[in-house]
Amino acid sequence: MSLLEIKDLEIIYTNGKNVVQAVNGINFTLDKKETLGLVGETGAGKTTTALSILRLLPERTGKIINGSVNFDGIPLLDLNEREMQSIRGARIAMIFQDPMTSLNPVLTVGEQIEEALMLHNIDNESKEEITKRVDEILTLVGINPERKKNYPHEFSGGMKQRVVIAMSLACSPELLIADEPTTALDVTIQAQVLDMMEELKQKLDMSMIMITHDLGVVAKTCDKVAVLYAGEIIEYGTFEDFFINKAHHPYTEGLFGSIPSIEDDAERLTPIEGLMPDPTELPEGCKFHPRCPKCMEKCKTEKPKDFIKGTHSIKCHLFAEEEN
Amino acid sequence: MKKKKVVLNNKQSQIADVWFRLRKNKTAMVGLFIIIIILFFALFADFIADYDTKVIEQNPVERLQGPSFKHIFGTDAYGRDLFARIVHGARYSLSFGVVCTIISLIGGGILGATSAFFGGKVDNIIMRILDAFMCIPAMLLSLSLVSALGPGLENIMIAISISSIPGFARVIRSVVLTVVREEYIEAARACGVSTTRTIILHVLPNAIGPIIVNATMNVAGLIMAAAGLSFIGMGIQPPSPEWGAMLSEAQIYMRLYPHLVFVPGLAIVITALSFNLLGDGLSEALDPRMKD
Amino acid sequence: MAKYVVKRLLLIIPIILLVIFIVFNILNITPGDPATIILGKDAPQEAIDQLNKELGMDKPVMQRYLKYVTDAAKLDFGTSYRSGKSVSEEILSKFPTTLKLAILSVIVSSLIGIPLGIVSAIRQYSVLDVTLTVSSLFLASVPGFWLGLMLILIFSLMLGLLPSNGIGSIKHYIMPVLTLGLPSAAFLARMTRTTMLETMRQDYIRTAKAKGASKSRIINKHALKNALMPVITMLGMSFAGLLGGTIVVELVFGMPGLGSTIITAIKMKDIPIVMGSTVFLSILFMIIMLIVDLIYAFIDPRIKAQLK
Repeated sequence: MSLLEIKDLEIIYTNGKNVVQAVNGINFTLDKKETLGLVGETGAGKTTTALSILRLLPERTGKIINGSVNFDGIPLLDLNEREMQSIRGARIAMIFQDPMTSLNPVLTVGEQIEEALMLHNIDNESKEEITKRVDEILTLVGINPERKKNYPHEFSGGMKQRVVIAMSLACSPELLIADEPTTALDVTIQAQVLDMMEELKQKLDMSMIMITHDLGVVAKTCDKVAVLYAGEIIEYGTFEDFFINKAHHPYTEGLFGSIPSIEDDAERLTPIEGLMPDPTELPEGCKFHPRCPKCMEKCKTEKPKDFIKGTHSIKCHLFAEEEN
Repeated sequence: MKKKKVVLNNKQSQIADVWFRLRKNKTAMVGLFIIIIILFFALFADFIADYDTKVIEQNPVERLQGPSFKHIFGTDAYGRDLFARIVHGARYSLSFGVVCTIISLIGGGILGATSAFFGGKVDNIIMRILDAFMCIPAMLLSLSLVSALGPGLENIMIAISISSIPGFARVIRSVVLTVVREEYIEAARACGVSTTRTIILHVLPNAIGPIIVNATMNVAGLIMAAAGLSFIGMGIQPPSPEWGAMLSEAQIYMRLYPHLVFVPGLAIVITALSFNLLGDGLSEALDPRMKD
Repeated sequence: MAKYVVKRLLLIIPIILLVIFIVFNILNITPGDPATIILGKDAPQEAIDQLNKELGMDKPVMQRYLKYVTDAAKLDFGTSYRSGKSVSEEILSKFPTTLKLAILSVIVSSLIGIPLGIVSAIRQYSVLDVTLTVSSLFLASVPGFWLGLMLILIFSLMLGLLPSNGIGSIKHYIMPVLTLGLPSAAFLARMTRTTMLETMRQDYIRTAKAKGASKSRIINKHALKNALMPVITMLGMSFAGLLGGTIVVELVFGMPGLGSTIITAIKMKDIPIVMGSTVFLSILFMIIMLIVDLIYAFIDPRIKAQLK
């Protein structure tokens, strides 16, 4: 059985006047020890999907209107708040994008890591044991345990993200959701942090959802990839399907075209034309058609289905023709 | 998904948006409605009741009457119709509140914007002087100014305006500073847009929101401050129908004729409240973020 | 830390000089010369000239200002035109009443305002929150003198429960404290609510939620300390505001504090008293704000670290 199973998830944001369709019916599964990459532009619905798994959408504005999230057989959307709390941090942990703001400025980092342990102290460990555990975890992420008495502002960005990672790993969760964990960091630090996460993931037998807009990060860490566009998964498959296969959704091709490569001697990068559609007024038919270089008449009116070939699924009319 | 608001140069729809949210805010609309009524009374006061015969002329036969059909708010110790006096008093309160706010807004705007835009020494000097002004309790500052300038409508208005200039200057300075630091301003400057043009076209429109909110609430504050001055006896002098002065006159009759104290006070409260309600609604309408 | 305090204290001095300069110049243009005020309009011209000269009124403004500042440094704020007593003596004898009133009001307002603000933020849009928002706007629109009069009307004249005038007993303080404290409580509640809501929107609150912390834990452990820091500043400001606000309230309740002294002095053109009290209250304001900053520095690790 898979660890995480998301079915037909639909999420809207509303502020009374406008309704934003942030996530429009997405499906994916994640097995134990697997890493799934959620790829897409800003506004594609990546973070919204992640927050909905932990049920942390903004209370007043964000609403899950359809679908189910099953974690280890537990229907997360049906749990009450208290049950949900026992899962957050303990079995599913999340790392947020900006380490600068995700730590409480008036508590020491030690206190903040300790809190995670105290909250899910099932084995009734003593205070000393917890303190020892804090030291262990800090060592694990490469921070001198003596620094636990420091406040967040005394750490650099990369170090802060290490603290955040330490905090999320404190209770050895089965699933770690990392929301662009390296975007806010310097390029050199990015690689360090990614390597460390990969190593820790192996060590702790975790599954991971890696949210990113960087295909490089995906190539480095993921077993499976889902490409999100305007709240839909437009392409879904294994690492091989993406990086070895040549058949791709035009949008994914566009994403590949936007990465500089040393091997190709392309004259210039080929970016994707246009912008993400306004989520309050999504286009008819295929949502990508206004930007698609291979757009056909059919795409403007008819929603493409998922065309599945083995593990690889693509939401595009181009592949319907191929099938016939 | 992050919903960062993209600032497009789309003023029309932005104003429409704010108006839409404001209209949904019932309390703010009540405030606006009352302000319009008060404004109506102030503008047409002379048609509602003649100033010389109804508001000023004493009529001992009818003194100290309770509310009746003829005098809906009753009459004061000199037999004058309280309703007529309240209606004419609205002129004082609105001019103190609105005109003085506009004066201090202009004064504060010039000082604050200069300070923020030039920074460095200019900023330092202006801000230190304003700091000093802000250390002096507002009431004391206006009292000293009135006693120095002498009584009279203009002098009172100057005194009240000066006491709220430093506050505005600070707000405007900080608003302009945050806006100036925004990237679209840098972009405008990088494109070679001149300084004045940058301020007028790019800084002001984006800074206007918080300033309007502040100004609206300031109107309420100044109405109360002006009434306070008159109540102490350092503002508008009786028999002029200023609400604070009326209260001060009525104090000695409070035990037997509480309506004399109640009505002018309520007039102040309702006027101040309506501006506060509007200001509060505006701040929510301009900052929808608070709704999350 | 000590270095910081000394530095801050030194920084206050130029502002004090500036405040004195401003007040000095405002009051200097007040019509009427001191001798005429002291001796009366009917006094012979020679006597008036003589006294003005004794008071140094023939010297230029700048020189008089410097003399005032040097005297003030020795806590000599001049002599009252009316009573002939020294201004410092006059202030010190009247100030305790005002201070007592302000302190009681700030206690009452923070005890009511801060908890209400917190609860109202936690239960945003609840009946309590809406009631509080509306009633705090209402209280912010009630001038102190009228609130005072209404309290007198109800509790003294109609119910006969409380004395309306004087400072004899603690009972005398109840209505003045409410008059000052209620609007200030409303202000504090509103501000606390705003900072609390602001704090609850921060990323670190989401992090705490993701850790599995309960709502009450998030509020107590993560939000309160962060949210209450700005409230301290506002508390300081409202205390300073209350000191100024006592002027009208003392008048309404016939309390012989600094406020009523100032009003009498202004009406009688007793400039040294007005000058001295204004300078005194302004310095007090600066000291309060300094204390607030020091408290801030003490509890906020970010600022604390900068001072090391």
